[in-house]
This record gives sequence, C-alpha cells and structure tokens, in this order.
Amino acid sequence: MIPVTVLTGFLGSGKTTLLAHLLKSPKLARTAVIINEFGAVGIDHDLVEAGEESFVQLETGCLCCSIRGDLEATIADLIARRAGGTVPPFERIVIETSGLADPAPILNAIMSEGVRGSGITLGRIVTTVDAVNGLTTLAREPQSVRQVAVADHLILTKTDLADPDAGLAARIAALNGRAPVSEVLFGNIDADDLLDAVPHAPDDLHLDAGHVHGEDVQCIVIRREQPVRALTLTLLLEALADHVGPELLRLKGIVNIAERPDRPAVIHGVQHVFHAPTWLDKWPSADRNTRLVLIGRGLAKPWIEDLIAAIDAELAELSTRA
Amino acid sequence: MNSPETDQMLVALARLLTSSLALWKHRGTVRRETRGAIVVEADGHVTHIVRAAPGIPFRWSITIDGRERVAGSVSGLLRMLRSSLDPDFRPSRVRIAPIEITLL
Repeated sequence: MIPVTVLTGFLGSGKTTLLAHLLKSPKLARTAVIINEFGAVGIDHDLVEAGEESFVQLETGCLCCSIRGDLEATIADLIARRAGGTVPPFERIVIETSGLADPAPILNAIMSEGVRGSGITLGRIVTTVDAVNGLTTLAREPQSVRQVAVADHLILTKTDLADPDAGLAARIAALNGRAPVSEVLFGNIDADDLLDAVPHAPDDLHLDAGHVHGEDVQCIVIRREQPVRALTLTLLLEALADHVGPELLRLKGIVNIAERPDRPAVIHGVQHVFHAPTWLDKWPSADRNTRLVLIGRGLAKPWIEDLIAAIDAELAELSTRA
Repeated sequence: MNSPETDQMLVALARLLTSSLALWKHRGTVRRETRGAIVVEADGHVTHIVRAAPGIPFRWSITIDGRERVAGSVSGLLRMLRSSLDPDFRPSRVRIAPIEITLL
C-alpha cells in the first residue's frame, strides 16, 4: 500500500518550508508530491525541489471544496502512471493542502480512493501551527481548528520569532491532546520522526472522556467495558454515517469484539468512509476496554451511547428469540 | 407480556429516540404505550413503532402519519424516522475500504 501523508496548516504556518526540508531527505526520495494552493498563480511549487514527473500542482481552487474531484483524479492518475512506468515507482504521496482547506473532505477523498482499490492508504496527518499567530488564527479561523483537531503530529513553527505562548499550548492541548507537538525551526525535523511513526496505533487513544472544546470541533471518547458484538459495530458505523457522517472529521478506535476477545480490532474512518478493521495479534496493554475517539462537529456523546445501548439491546433480544 | 429482553430493548430504544430528536434539533416527545408500542410526536408528525409481527422478515413496523413501513434494525428505523422529519435528510451510507489499515 502507498501511504498518503497529508501536510496541512493555516496560511503562512510553514507547510512549504517543512515540505521543502523533508524532500531533501534521502528517505523521501521516492515520494510523489501534490501541492494545492488557493489562487490562480502557484508559488509553493517553485519553493519545493522535487522530481517534476512525480510532482503535481493543483491551483484551480481550494483542495477541500472546488477541486476535490481533481484530487481523486490526480491520485488515480499518479497511480496509473506509476503502474505504467511513466513516473518513478514512488513509495509515498505527500499532499500539501491549501492553508484554507478543511481537512475532512481531503481525508475522505483519500479514503475513497482506498475504497476503489487504488492501492493507497491514509498515512499520517501533519499540521503546522505558527507560534507567532497561531493563537489568533485558532480563535478566528474555524478551518485552522479542524486542521489541528485531526492531526497525528503537530509542528509548532516560527519559535525563533516568538516563545511558544502558554495560551497557544493550552489551546492546542484542548483541541488535540493526543498528537505529539514538535517545535521545529525552518522545517528542520527528521523525516522518520514525522512520517514513519505509527499513525493509527491504539496507543493514540489517550484522551479525556467527554472532552469538548467549544462549539465547533469536539472530541468525544466512548469507553466500554463490555465487549461489542461485531454486528453492533457494523450497525453503529452505519448509523454514524447516516446521521453525523458529514460532520465526522475522524473516528478511530480499538474495539473488543465479543466474537474475537483476544484480538482487538482497530478501526479508522473519516466522514462515512471506514477502513476494514485491522485485527491486532494481541492487546497492546492490560486495558481491554473498547475505546472510540470521534472528532467532529455537532456530535453528541449521549446519543452515541444511547445508540450503542439500543443496538446491543436489540441484538440481545434477537438472540433470545433465535 | 414482553420478555425482560424485549422490555430492556424498548427502554433503550425510547431513550435513543429521545436523544435522536435532540441531535436532529427537533422538538418532540417519545412515550411508551402499554402494549409495547413507542409513540414519537414531533413537528406535527406522529410515529408509532412496534416490533413487527412474527413471520415478517423485518424487525420493526413503523407507522408514520398513518402509513406503515418496515425496518430491519434500529439503525434502519432511525433512518426512516429522520427521513419523515427532515425532507432534506440524505443518509451518507457507510463505505468500507476493502483493505486493512497499514500501520506505517
């Protein structure tokens, strides 16, 4: 599978600087790059050195809205050209989003390509935050909140210009207490630290239950001691897709499936698209509770808990009739 | 006379329907009737929900404003109820990628 790393962050937060540095690393020699800029004339393209044949610039609009179809087509085209040998056999794709992009539709597009069997899989989501303007940006720009909320790794930039503000650190921690935060100057970070760590590992799921941060993006943690039937999980995902799908930025979880209690299932989804569960060989810790992390807008923890309870009760009643 | 499991299911369903109205931002009421039916009244619509009769390959009978429909599960029932309350509701059907997650 070819991982697709998403590099996002608000305008001026240092995405291109970071990407330019990363692409100098031999570890990213076999990387295809897709850069999206909001505006008629692309500049970032000229600031990043990469092999032209594996380099695609999308400058017709913001990746998350007007040209999402272009992104899907671009990825599919890259994969086809790779298979046909007209581009080098890249082993990774990096997408630098526009600073104004809502990440959810982009993640959805990547996972949709996975659904279509194009051989790609969502890799890490890396978000840059500007130490100088970050706090103000997070207060004013809803997209920046979403960019931080979905990140697997947060990069705090421009710390040479301003000491990281305690308020900014607190705001970031409230939005996304799970992702590690690295202070990086001029994009200077080891590619291994950023791209090759485990993206969706169960250890990611350390969040305060019921953590809510403002009216926009919420992070909800559902924890259950009782194992979950496989069918309960299926029906739960179906109902989540139906009723909160468009608002669900990310869902990830480790699930104790009643039918396979010794092998936890790791699930991962964006909006209404979910990967098939990965079955771990064993539980990574003594904690065998099911833990689901949902990040999105307009989510309601009581509704999700009531939904699981009702599905479970329905299946329990059904089993007594069998 | 309902079994304890059926009673438990109806209690859980009634609770879910109440929180669903809140999630969907509809004002309304959910009540259980004596013979196991659940009645949802919201925005001028009246919905009766009962377990489907034995022998029918669906689990729920849902009568919305006098018109009977059926659903195979709680999630199907929710979809049907919301469709009656929100004409613009378009469920986003779940899609499952045919590949396992790659732990990079």
